[in-house]
Amino acid sequence: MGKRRTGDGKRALALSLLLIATGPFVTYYAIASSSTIFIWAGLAETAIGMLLALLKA
Amino acid sequence: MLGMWLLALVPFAALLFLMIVPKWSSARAGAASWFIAMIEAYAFFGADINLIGLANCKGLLLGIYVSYLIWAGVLLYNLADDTGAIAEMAAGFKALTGDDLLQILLVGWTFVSFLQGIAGFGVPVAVVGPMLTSLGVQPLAAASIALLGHAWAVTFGSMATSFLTLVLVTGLNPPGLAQWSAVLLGIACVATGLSVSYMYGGTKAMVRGLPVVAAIGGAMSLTQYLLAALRSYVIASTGAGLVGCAMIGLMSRSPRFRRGDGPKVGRGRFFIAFSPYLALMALSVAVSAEFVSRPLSSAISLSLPFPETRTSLGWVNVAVKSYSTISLLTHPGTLVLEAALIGYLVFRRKSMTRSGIAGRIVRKTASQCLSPTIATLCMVMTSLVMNESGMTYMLAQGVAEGAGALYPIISTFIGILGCFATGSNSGSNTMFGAFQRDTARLLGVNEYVLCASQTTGGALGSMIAPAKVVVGTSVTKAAGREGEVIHRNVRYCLAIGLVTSIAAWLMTLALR
Repeated sequence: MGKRRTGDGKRALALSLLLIATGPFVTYYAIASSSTIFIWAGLAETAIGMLLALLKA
Repeated sequence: MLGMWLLALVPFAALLFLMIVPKWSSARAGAASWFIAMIEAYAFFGADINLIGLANCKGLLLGIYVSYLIWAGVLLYNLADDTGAIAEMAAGFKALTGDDLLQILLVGWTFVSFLQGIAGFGVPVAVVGPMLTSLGVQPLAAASIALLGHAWAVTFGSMATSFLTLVLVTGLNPPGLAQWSAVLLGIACVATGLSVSYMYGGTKAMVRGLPVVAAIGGAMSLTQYLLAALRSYVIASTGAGLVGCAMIGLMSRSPRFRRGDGPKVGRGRFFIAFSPYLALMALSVAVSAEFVSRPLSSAISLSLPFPETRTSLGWVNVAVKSYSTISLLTHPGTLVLEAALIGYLVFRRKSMTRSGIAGRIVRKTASQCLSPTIATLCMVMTSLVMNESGMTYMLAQGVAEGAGALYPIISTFIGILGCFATGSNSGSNTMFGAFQRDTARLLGVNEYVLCASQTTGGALGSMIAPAKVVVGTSVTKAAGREGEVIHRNVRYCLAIGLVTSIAAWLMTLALR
């Protein structure tokens, strides 16, 4: 199904998914607790996940 | 204003361009358009960091909803494939009629519409895609046909959720809205039947299928209209799909559509192979009953409250107490998993399973679903950033202002845009239902017709909405080729949209 991936490629995608799927929750709870630094941390985490998807998907 | 409109267009345009021209995977193109949407929302549309963060979280919740179904659908497909059930089902369909076009219309038009009536939320595409490949249809075409064939049934499908959403957001009288919607969706029904024939075998197949499509399409449209007129909204698509399946069953008995020459398949073997899908239908019907769904829905659910957010340009997203509630026990993904479990037990009893099947299909499913899940999350999060920063609304508003008196011709395409952005007919109706009603009042045209045109566009948009296309490609061994499926389907979507929008325009002229 789709292009064949190496083990490293799959690990990168799995990491990308993990970051994309958790980053927004970090941001959400940071907004709820008014923690500016964690809002940025959550957004950065999501962006790194997206960057990995852009480079490896 | 034009500059802002063009800026709002860039993320969608980039997504389509990257998927269609350089043929990037939807995950890669989705990630690129997410970066563009984020930068534009912050730099040009006045979204602050809180709004962007919350929009991403809303997108993630919607993405989880869709992704769960993708994983369950692929798992069910792998189970059916590994046990030989897919091959048995294909043999069963081939034995019913030797006419290949009738087989395709049965599975890819009438049966998928029936499934849309009872299940929806991507389940019909997840179920019918593999069936079409087993009938010898190429994976890309199978995904395209499944998406195309079910689109007309979406508004009154999945217990009419999209229609009832439109009623809620517009406040219009349900019977009036239902009848106009059924008229436009009826036109779309015949058009999708013809399109499925054309997609399968070109002009020759379309001409050959014309009498069948006209007869069955007419009957399905009429059934949907009558049920809608009788206020039986929740079964309008189901009833229409059933009538279509029954008519093809009757037609297959006539000498013109001779029985298949291939090896005959006993009814018992066919039904055993079909058992997980029968279980899925039964489960879908069961949870649609309110006395079953109500306690189950509230048992285990995931949802988050969201505060009000606003951009510096004045776009407001109202606070919601529970956004995109995922009720674990009634979620379509759970129903598919339960159906897979029932299928596994039946197949094991009939000695159709090989040793180590559970581990094998779980590993295969995880490997296959990684990329589609990322694609879904990227695209839905992009859409939500656009929606919550007012970019999508600005796109629609610009189109409406540009069209002026010809707006009714554009109204269907606004519905398509909404579905493309949100991934669902309900989402499109939520986003643009009130906008269409207000524009109709402003222009002095019939608001019922324009809102019917909106939901027809929302239904047709299902055939190109990336979140649904990913479901189709995931189950037909075409993952990563979403751009090609969208490229195939977009011309049908626009052509059928044009036909229904012209019909809507004529109706508004007649009702002035």
